[in-house]
Amino acid sequence: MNLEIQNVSKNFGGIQALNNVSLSLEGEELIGIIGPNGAGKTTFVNTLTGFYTPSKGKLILNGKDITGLKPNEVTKRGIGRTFQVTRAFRRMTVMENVLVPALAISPEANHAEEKEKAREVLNFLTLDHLRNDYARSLSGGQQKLLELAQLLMTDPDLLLLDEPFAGVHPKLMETIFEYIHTVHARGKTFMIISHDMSSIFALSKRLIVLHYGSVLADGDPQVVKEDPQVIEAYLGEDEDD
Amino acid sequence: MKAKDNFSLSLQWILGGILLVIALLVPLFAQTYWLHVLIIAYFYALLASSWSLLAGYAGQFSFGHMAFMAIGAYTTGLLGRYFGIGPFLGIIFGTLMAGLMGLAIGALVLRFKASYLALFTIAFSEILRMILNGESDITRGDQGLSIVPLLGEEIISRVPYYYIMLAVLLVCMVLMYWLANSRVGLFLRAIREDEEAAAARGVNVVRYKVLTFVVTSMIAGLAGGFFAHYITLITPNIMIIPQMGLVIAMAIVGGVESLFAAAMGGIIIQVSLEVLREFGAWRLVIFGALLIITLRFARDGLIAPIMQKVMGTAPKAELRTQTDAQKVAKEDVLDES
Amino acid sequence: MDYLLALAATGVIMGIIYALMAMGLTLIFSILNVINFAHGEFYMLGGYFSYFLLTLFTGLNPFVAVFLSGLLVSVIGLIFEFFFLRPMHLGRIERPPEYAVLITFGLSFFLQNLALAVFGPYPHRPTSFFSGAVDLGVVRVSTDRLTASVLSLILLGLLLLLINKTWIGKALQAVSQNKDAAAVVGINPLRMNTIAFSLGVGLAAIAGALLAPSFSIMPDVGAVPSIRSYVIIVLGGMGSIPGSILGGVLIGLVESLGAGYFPDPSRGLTYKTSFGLIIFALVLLFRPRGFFGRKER
Repeated sequence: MNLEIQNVSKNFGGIQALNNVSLSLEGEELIGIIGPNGAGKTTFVNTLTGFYTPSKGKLILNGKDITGLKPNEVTKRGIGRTFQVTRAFRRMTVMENVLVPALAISPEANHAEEKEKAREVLNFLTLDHLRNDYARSLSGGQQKLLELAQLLMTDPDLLLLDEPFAGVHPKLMETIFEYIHTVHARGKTFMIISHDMSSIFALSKRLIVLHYGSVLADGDPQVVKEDPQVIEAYLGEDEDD
Repeated sequence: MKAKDNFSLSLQWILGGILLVIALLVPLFAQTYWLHVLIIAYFYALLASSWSLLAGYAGQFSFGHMAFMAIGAYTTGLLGRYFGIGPFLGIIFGTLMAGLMGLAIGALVLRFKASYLALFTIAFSEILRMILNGESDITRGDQGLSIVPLLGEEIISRVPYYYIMLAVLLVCMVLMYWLANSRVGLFLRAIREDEEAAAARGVNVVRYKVLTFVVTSMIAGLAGGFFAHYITLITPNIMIIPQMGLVIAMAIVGGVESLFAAAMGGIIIQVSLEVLREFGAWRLVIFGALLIITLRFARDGLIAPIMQKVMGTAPKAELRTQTDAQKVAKEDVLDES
Repeated sequence: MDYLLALAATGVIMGIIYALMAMGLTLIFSILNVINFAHGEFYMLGGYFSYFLLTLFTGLNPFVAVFLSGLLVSVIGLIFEFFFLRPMHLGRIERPPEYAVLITFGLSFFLQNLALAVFGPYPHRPTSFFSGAVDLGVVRVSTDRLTASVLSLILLGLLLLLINKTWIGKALQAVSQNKDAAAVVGINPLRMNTIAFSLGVGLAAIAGALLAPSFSIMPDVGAVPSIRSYVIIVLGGMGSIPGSILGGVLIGLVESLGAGYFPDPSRGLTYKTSFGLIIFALVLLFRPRGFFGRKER
């Protein structure tokens, strides 16, 4: 998996949300993205996944230009994402929730085969026993896991998790960590946005700091942690979450 | 679990079968008047169920449905009058024309939220109606456009018309059921639940929204075409907004997320309107009140829950509806993206 | 030239009355974020109530009748809002945007048929406020219509004063901009919703009562004004008060000039409302915020 983010900027009217962001992702990485509120983290995810079209710049995935593609196209190409506030399909069953992505990305897919795959994935995320329940009757934590299951069903090479640890209790945290490690071990790349410093530092092998839409730092977490600019902008301040 | 599923499935087939047999046998013992009532009822059932596919399944609450029906009716009427095109061919053209307009409208309203979609489709419907009225030289306007019957020069017996309308209804219901239970149905419901999340999960939202518009507008056009060749006289009043309101009431009172319930809503309400004839204008007052109350207190409709209880297919974990809705409301407040 | 001025004058005179009704719709959208699809029916009820008040109490001052009609309809609006719209804002309704469309549309369906059942399909027409016509130089206008227009203008002025200078007006503005922030400073958004809705439909009713002597009242008399109001608020900008006034006058002009200059005069009348509608459809497609509006929340 190779993703080139070349000079990507995104502005809304007068607001410059992303400012000339250039990044290169290669192979199987585990990247943490941090930054103050309003730094452009979610805009970044939305732009990568086709919800926003860059005002300037290009996105090249595995050698192909994916700039301006619609979200469902981007998903088909192998980039998947979760949402900050979980958005499962509330009035559909858990099974239906995971079938949608599976059937959406491969038109020739066989309904029965996908169901088998789905059960494996649900099992992996401890949701199989709930497969016939409506998503809205799941707890918040279970819905988070459901989203992660949906992600797996499209078999993405790059997984973008937007605040996966927000409001998550320790047991669930373990499950999510396990998910990340297992899937990463299969050769997938993760980009995780979070304010949860301990989790980010525990997981990430590469740390990117966004500030006012620009990349402030990009590298080894331990090195970035000591970067004076980063400390001034973000780490040194009180967390107001 | 599995055993119960099989049972409820067989039950559905049995009950459906019984209804079908009754419907097939009606002409044997019913008067011409009631045949007429049922033909009209099947017409409304077609409209209500196709509207429920668009609104209940795909979440597109369009007010243009009767416009597509009128396009079907007037296309075949005008082609017949001015080009001598026969009824069956005319209906085909009418259906295609309605589908074409459905394609256009569907494409135009892609980004519209509920209110704007309603406004735009109301505008579309009214503009069409004004054109039909305005160009009365061609369309005969309020005087009515004469249309040849589907079979022969006059309608001698309503029996064949009854079976034809029933057949059209059944064929369309089967088609819509197949669609709703296929992956398309899954995608539509996902779009209805959360369009952006559906897109993130790979669903081509544009394609399926437009597809639904095209399919349902074609069904409406088809209904309009057959209706025209049965009623043999059409005016622009077939598509006034209150008629749209009636179809909406039928679908909602029946159960807007169930094709069968919506169709039953159409049939039951239309038949009731006839049965309660002596109540005059109060009939629609009652249904108007029913509509409002159903919307407020029984969102799933009145017929659908009964069906679900009988079939044993009541959805699980419905107990916490209130708190879930409240949870959603709170999330909406917090999530200002 | 005289023809143009005459048409323009008529357009402005009617436009002001349209603006009054549209203002009500804007208020409702701005505070409750709901498009009231039954707005035309409240207009219709205003007309009917005025007619029956004047018929039952023969000595009644017509302007009092208009005001009382507005008041009665406001009460009806209040009751409806409390039972059917408030639950939306209390989180008790699934999929609120669709619900709002359907419930107000359902109300429209219900009220129209109720009027048909109670009052019958035949037109009713209250006696004129004043008889005769007024010569304005470029055009002769029936005194009734001119009166209606002048009164609407006065009411619009009062409303602008209310919105901008009184506490309630500012509270309404606050809720329209940010419901939660308004709640934090002690304004009760639910109460503001009720006030806005009652006031909004009351304005429609007053417009209906004012125009009743000029045009007859029938159960479906609200259909055209309803659609016209949507056109106005979309053109002027959803949620914008000045926009609805400007939009009202604009639509009055469009209809008047459009009908007046349409090549075929008899068809011109039929197409009168459609000019506004076509512009409306185009605006929805290309500039949904209209000329003054904010984005839909």
